[in-house]
Amino acid sequence: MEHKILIVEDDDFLSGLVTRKLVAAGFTVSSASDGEEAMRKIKEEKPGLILLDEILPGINGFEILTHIKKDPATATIPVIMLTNMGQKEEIDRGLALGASEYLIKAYLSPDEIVKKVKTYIPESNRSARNTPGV
Amino acid sequence: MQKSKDYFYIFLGGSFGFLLGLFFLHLVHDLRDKELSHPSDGLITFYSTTISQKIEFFGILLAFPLLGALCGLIKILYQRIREDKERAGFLEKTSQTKSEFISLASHQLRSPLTRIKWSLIMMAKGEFGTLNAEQQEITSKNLESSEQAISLIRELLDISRIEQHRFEFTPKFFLVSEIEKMIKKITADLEQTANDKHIPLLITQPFLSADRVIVDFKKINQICQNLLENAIRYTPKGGNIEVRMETRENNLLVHINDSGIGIPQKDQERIFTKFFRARNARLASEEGTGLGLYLCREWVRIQGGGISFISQEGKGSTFTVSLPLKGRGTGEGFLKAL
Repeated sequence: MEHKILIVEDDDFLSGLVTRKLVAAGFTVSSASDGEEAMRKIKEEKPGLILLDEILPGINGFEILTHIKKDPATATIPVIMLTNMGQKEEIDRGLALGASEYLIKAYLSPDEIVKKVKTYIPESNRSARNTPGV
Repeated sequence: MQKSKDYFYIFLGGSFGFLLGLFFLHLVHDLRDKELSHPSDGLITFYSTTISQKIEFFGILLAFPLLGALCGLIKILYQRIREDKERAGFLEKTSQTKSEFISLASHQLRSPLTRIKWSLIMMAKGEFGTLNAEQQEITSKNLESSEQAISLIRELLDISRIEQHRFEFTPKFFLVSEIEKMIKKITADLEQTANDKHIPLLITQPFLSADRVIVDFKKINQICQNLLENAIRYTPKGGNIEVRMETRENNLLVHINDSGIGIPQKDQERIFTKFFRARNARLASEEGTGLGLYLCREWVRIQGGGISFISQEGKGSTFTVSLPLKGRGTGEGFLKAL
């Protein structure tokens, strides 16, 4: 079974490495490198999980997160903030806006990210909101 | 330069006071002459005055310069206070700018380091093709370096927050047994590194205390991890490391004992100083920033605890972290009494 993950990351190199790992783990991956593209893809593709960076050209990660959580059609999509901004205020803000987790890229390995993603996909499946046709 | 300027102000004040005194004296004499309705020629009458008038004369001539000098002194003090305030403001601003710079620079540095780290991890795993032994070794060394740089950035950020008094603490109640579980987890994570050096990591006495501590779990985890990593780093192959916990006089004590290189007597006083590394530690390992122990002490202090050590060069060290149980007792005070 394929599960679509949307990676919102302006660093194409990092995005490419994570994509490679997730694809190898059996996920379908889509990516967006700026805020506008991310907003469009979230609406169109309704991914099962979003990996969201904070610093992005145009609309930033927090604004995207706010939009996702405000829109009933996307509010239940789990969002993992995956960023290198790790001040307490930023972490608190991300979690308060509804992020499921706030992870700092530099402290993780690509394998650990895949592991995290795997823990979220079954949850979204159980709620059945992302199953085609629902 | 500053001193001669000070003396000038006092001299100026005194001189001005003296002239004012003379003028005042002249005025008094004029008035007195008028009252007595026989004019005199000012100061010359001084020689024909009574003793009390002479005292008055000297009194005025002394008091006015003194008053003037005092005004000069007050002016100097006022200026000093103003300068101190300006300096403090400047230092505070500089410190804030420095911290903001560190914070921004840290975030900017993390991004390229993440690229390096992730690609090296994948490279080391052979995900971009099989590596020969030499390539594998170089990749591992580079990976270690990138991890060190990431740790250094993290430590600098922590320090900048501590110095700005912006602590990231969320203290909660924890059972002592949960702290023990956490230490077991850290030792399990570090087991491989210790095994590579043939160092057994021992946790003595299963510790089933029902006592509680109020701590920030993440910070306590980081403190214990820092101390254990240090113990492994500075213990030669085949040595021993032992972790022991106990409760004593309303305090939870975590002892981390190693048979490592120890801390030379003359370096012991500065061991918790920022960026300081003991002479033998620098020789034993290139790794280490000299920030770990400083951070440990700050974090444990903020939580009402204390950290101390006993060490002998060439024999080993025992670091003890003390945390007050359920908020009773103070770890710091308890350690001083040990």
